[in-house]
Amino acid sequence: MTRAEVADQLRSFLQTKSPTGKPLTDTTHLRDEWRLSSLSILETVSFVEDTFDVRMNQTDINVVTFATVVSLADFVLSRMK
Amino acid sequence: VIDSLAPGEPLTAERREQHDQGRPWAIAWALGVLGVYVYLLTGAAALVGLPTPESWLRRFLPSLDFRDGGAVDAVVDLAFTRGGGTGRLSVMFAVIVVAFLSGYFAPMAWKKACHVGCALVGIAIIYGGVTTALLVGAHLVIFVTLHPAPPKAPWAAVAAVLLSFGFDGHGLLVSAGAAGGAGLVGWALYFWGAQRLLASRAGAWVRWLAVQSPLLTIVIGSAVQGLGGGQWSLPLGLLMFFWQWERLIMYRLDQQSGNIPAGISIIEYLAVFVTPAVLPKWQWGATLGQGYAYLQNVFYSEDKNRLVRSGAKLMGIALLYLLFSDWVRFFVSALFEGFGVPAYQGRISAMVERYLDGGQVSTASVLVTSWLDILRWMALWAGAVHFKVGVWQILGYKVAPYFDKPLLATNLVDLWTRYTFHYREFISQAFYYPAFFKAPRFIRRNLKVRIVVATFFAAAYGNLVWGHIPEGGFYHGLRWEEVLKVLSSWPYFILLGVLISATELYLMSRGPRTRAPWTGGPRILIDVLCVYLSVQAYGLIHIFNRVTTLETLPKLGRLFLVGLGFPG
Repeated sequence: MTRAEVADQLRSFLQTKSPTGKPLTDTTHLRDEWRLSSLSILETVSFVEDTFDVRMNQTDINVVTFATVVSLADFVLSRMK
Repeated sequence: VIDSLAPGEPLTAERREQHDQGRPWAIAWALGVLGVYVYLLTGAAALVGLPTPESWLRRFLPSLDFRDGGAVDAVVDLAFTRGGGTGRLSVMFAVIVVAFLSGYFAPMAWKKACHVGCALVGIAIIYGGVTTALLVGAHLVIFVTLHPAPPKAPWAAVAAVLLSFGFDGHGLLVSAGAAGGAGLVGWALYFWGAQRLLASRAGAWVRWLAVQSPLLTIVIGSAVQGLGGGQWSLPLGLLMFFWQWERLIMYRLDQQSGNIPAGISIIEYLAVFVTPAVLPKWQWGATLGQGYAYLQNVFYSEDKNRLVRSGAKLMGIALLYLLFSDWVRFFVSALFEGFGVPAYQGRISAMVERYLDGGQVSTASVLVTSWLDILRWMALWAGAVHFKVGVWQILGYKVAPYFDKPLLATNLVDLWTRYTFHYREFISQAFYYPAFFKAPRFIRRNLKVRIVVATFFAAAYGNLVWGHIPEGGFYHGLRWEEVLKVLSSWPYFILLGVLISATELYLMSRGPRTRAPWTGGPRILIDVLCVYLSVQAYGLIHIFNRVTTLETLPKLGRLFLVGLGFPG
């Protein structure tokens, strides 16, 4: 899978969790702008585990991984290798 | 680089330096607001011949209480001082001012040392050298347990202990000799044996014991008392150390996540626990600022002058809560009384007492009283924690408000987050996430079940055992009855877990939002209704947030049902 494909799937999923109805872009900061709640974080973890067959743990919940859709996609790709 | 889900990006040293440019107006902002606090709360007015706050405020705000010297008796005060007078409070404000100024002007590498130094001197003056020594000593034990092999750290801590002994009125040389001797012996023992122990497999257990020592002390001390072995009396320094048990757990979680540098200095460590920002109302908001990673991420993460202005503004807002909240509560309560709906001045406990004594209580009365009680607590809480966050901010930490407009929360999960942000973060990091990730395989199969189990584990179990049992023991003494009292309020925690789980299930199952709350014209009325229902539900379950027995539980249940509209 390419980075763009992973990012697209993540974006589509996160868009369904939109707290404000605004569109999600590659540069939207998930914590500060998108207001990703702790519940949405865990839903995202579950989505990543089910969709990409990647196991995540608590230390993966950090501001670097969850900065943007692209950083999350990079994380997923690094674990898929 | 620190990885945590703190706001903003991890900072470089260069970025911090860029945020360290002095501006005179920022200093004026902070000193101006703190000056108002000193005038209102410390009795300084009488000393310098100004009209005391009591002489003119009593006329406008009869709801206020006043201390000797005409100072306002507010919730921003010093913990653990019986009476204590306003002199000690003056020391607290002096410590905050000196820490602010010294930290503001000091080079980046020395700022935290200024904060810790001021806090230690202040604690020594207010509570005495022995208390300071015990507090520092307890932290030293934690520090060397969690960070073995720090070459200079024990000496720094021994120096701090020596300093504090000097403040206790004993001969400085005698105290210094005794403390220095003890420090030397401890240092030698540590390097001889403790390091080997900590490096072995048993080291993990030692670290667990150290981090859980507050809760273990409560449980063991209470059990000893319950078995007739006499009641333990905690020295103040240890009590002050134990009171930060949640922060200690968060610090350890940061370490386990690899977010604390291996060579951390004792000053960097102490800056998390012993700073002027924790001095006011020590026992409230003990999770404020969370652990090391959060504080490190927010330290000078923004221009310091903007932080100072933001902190001064928060302290100003706190003042409004401190002065006007009771007046508003009494006014609203009297308003409802005028309509024939007793509101018990917004105290659920008074209403419950009346009901248990056989009095009649109407549905309207239950709803109004429980709503007002939440507002009463919010106002008290906001006054204290806004001030504390304000102090963190003027010291250069972009700490998020603990209390963030909870009356804009349109569901219970959001309400809890806005009402008590840092405590909720503690519950999330210590219980919610671990329960989610470590769930057994049969629970992991279904996301909703996995979320509900994690939520219940955090909001009910973690919140009751780690959030409230230590607090009960530290407030009222290490007695078995106190543990049982806290445990007997289990229906409240169960209902909280049920309500938050139900809210999370609803949030998971609803579709994507098409609008943000508080936008979209007339639909704002729906937001208003959601706020009302969230606060009302949260208020109603507080009927059970007290000691319950087999005799009172059914009656409390009936009162709860009265609140829901069933006949009493």
